[in-house]
Amino acid sequence: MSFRELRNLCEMCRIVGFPRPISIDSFREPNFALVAELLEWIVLRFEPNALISAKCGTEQERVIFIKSAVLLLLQNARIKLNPKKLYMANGLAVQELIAPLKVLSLADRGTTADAHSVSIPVIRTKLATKMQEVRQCAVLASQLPQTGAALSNLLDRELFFRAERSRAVSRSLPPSAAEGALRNATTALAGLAGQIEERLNNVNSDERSLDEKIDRKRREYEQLQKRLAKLQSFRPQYMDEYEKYEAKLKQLYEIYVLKFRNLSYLQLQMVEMERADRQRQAETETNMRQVVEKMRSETANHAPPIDVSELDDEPEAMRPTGGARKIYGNMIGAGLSDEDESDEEAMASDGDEGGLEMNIDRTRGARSENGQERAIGARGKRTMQHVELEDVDDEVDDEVEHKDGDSGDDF
Amino acid sequence: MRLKTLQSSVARHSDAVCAVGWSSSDEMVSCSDDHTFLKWNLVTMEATKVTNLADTTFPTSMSWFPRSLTRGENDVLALTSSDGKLHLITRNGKIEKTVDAHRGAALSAKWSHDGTGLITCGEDGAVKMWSRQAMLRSVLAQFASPIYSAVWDGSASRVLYASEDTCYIKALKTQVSPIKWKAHDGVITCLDWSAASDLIITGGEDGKFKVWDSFGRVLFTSASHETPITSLAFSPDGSLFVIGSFNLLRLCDRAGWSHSVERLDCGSVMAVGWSPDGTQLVAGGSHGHVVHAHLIEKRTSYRNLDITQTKTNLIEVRDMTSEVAREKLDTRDRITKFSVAHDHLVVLTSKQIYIFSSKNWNTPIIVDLKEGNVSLLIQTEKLFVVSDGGSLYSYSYEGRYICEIKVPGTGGSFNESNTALSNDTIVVRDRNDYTKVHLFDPNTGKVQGDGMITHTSDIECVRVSQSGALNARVIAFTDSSTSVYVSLVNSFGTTPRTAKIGALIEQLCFNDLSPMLVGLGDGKVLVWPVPALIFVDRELLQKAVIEKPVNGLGKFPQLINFSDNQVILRRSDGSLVPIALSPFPSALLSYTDASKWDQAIRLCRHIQDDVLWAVLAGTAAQQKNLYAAEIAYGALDEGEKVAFLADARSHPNKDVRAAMLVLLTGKIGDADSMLERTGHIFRAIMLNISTFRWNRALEVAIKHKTHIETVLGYRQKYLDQFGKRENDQKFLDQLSKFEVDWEHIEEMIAQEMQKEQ
Repeated sequence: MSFRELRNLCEMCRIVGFPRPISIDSFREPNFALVAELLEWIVLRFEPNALISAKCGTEQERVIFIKSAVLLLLQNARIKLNPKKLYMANGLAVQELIAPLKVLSLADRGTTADAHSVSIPVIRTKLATKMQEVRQCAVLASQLPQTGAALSNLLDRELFFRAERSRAVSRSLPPSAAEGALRNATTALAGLAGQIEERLNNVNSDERSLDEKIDRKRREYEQLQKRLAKLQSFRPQYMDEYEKYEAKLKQLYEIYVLKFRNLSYLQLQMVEMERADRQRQAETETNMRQVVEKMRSETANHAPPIDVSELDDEPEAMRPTGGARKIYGNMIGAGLSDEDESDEEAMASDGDEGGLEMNIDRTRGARSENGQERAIGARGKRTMQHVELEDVDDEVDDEVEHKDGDSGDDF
Repeated sequence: MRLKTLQSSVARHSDAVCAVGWSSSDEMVSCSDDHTFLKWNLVTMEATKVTNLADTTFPTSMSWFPRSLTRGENDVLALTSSDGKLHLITRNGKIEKTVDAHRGAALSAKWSHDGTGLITCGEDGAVKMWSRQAMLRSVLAQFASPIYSAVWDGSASRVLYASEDTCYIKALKTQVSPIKWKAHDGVITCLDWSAASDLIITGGEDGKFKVWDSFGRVLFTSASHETPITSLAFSPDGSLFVIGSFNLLRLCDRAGWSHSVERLDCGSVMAVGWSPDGTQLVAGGSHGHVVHAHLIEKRTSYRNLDITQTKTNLIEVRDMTSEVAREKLDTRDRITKFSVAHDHLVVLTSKQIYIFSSKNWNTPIIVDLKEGNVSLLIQTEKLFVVSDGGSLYSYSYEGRYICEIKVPGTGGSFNESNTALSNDTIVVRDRNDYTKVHLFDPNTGKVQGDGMITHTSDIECVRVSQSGALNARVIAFTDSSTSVYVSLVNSFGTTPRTAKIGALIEQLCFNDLSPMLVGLGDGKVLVWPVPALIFVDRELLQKAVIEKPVNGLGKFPQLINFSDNQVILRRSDGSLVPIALSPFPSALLSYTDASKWDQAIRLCRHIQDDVLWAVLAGTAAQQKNLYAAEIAYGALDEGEKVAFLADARSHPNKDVRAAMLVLLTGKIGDADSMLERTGHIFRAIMLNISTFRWNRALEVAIKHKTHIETVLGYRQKYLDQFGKRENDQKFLDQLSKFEVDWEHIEEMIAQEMQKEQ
């Protein structure tokens, strides 16, 4: 018994996967139960169908168990164990047990788990290749008679060929001619070799010259590169100044842009203001016109007396007309005093109107005449009813109508 | 962090590889049951045969002589074999010596960390100790069942071995029976004891691995693997360990939680070994495979930077504040260590130091490394220190080598818990005598301040404050009884050099910007805003402590970082826990540092917290701002101190004021000698009288020949009150010479008072 054997036994049991751990101190004292358990497990590895049981109660059973196990191992694995030592179940038994365990553990180490699973396909492919070989053999066998016939045919013709051959061999060649021919051939070959060699030399020199050229070009390229780098890195004197001006230009350009923007904005403002002005003018104009028209319509009431006075040119007529008008007013049925007042008012507003018209003249300049005419025209229209009522001379009416038409033309 | 494994597809050995090791950081060796001894090229994973062993030699384990002690020459390894022999083999495969060590197989051999001895264990149940030349020294234990593994502790004074399911720790120097405990449900197959972190790991046939402290208390128990644990090893710096099982390699933190698991195809991992720099490991499989693995994806962060080592010679830096800021930094050689702090990333490769500034990642400063094997790298704001285990070397961030700091003694390694660095002081625990701490100046390599601090018990964790000037530099340490002590770098001869500020604290850390100290232990976090307050007012410090209980820390929490107002812890299950602290103490400290006492008082009044008032009182008293101190003591309801301070403040004489401040800190002797030195004899005498130091009072009075009567009078009064008689010979002598006349005494006192006015 030795330490190493015990240790190896434990290690092998771990490798082959014995189901429970074995202590290194297990066999310090005879331990038949463990030996039996191990032996049974080992035998079942080799012969899974073996009828063997490690449960041994009596001495007789133990002897039978050991004997049958040893026999089974001898039959299945050709491992011969010493049953006496096994029965002692101590260190000597360990030595015996190691032999079959070693076989198992080596097998376990040599073939991994993958090897087991691939073995059947491997065998199948091997069988297939063998079948292929058998088929090839059959084909070759069928070719055999044909080949034999061809061979015999050729052997028949050999008699004729032999005669021809001997004739050819017996014909002697003049040595000098043969020598000459050979020499010619050698000189031709030497010439050819020379040519090739020359060409090879040329190739070398060409190569060299090309190399030189490449070198030169490369040097030039490098020089140029350097020069380029130098030029790139060179900073002309004016550069500072240039940059300064560039910066200044940039600044100025910004100022310019700012001013331009302001200018265009102001222009826009001006245009808008003008437009607003025009609009306002138009509005005031229309307002004015309305006001003027209203005025006209009101002044139209005492327009005829004016006309009359103009026509008559008599100051005394003023009063009777005023009285006549009062009569008209009475006929209409409005209050006397009221008429009077309104008349005076109208007079006053007429004067005002003249002032307004003057204003318009100032703003509109050239159009003032037309405006006056239009204003008068408008007033004329409104006063039509009164004119019809009045029995003043038609002349005035005509004149008014004419003017109306004129003003319409003007527009 | 994880392991990147490299394994040749065809097994180079034809049988199980049971012994692996590193001849240097760039070359590994393996030995197998097929009797070949191979060395491996790490780049191509090609092996060359060194030698063939005898046909009867089946190796079981391999242990290289500790590298830090060899310095190149007489590199030797111990190899045990299954025929019970112990071989000493040189680097080139020559067998120097073979001895019959055990009956049956010799199962394991291990050199002690100081190289003075070797232990082997075997199938015959014996644990034997051998000398450097493989002469048998003693048989440490004898059992009936085989001993599979035996290891040394870091100081080579104890040995750990396991028989069946029980672990034993035997002390070599004292005659006490070994500590023993049942560790696993099955046979214990492998053990390791980290010299750096003083932790034990065990693995057993029950498929579990467990982490223990050096007293055999369990810190971590893993879930069960299906197969036995066959090998394990602590990394040289003690922060990681690796577990090998059937077809499996697991990398774990020292707290037990795993960083990564690698599934291999090599059978049981029979042996693992870390390279001396702790970045690579080799594993031997039972199918004859030799697996090489190196650590990648090591990660660290600093403020907004996140730094990951993605390949053996590539580091990736990401800036969290920006989406696109991502830098890839590559180095020529293999990276062994890196650290980031104070805006500098320091990367150590096997041959060089790269110093990157966070302002400019593209142009590192590259310095050739003096020593190949760096075990420690600490940074401060102005410089950093690297250590190869033997000495400490300081460098500036400009890549200038400043000096070598020679620490007395041999053996023992420097690690992050027993070494601390600030801009002007480096604090190192003595290598042999753990009760001592040495102070050096990293800028000159000379002794700094008082040079050495001697404590009564073993010191475990040493820290030094980062902020402030040299005279405010505070050293804090925990000892083996988990008490916290503070000390000043330069105490200028004052009597209490060290003072205890707390108990039940296992780890300490200073803030990177302020003098705040954080301690972790007993399921809570303690913060001392100004630990140096103990030298000002002992009672104040008890008030100036912030306590924060943290839930679910587990048995083995680690303090990772303390910057700004945030403490970062790692719980036992590996999760990082940030703990936010109140921002007011640090704000208050920034005011007091700048002498903005008005703002400081206003802040305290606004917050109304005793801790803040205590901090203010202490710092004000320390910086002699009596007005602020008075207000702060007033807020703490300490009327007598307020009155005392008011008295001190109004005193016209500067020397008396200084003495009174000293008295405030409770140093009566110092105050007394100050008063005497500056000629205020009456005050000195009255001070001694009021503190009942009669002998001293009389001594001063006799020395200056004044007020002897006064002393005698008060003494008499005192004795009368207690109804006792004078029996001190000195007083009796004086009583015979002088008459106690109270009228005269009062007259004299009045005179003195007038003189002082």
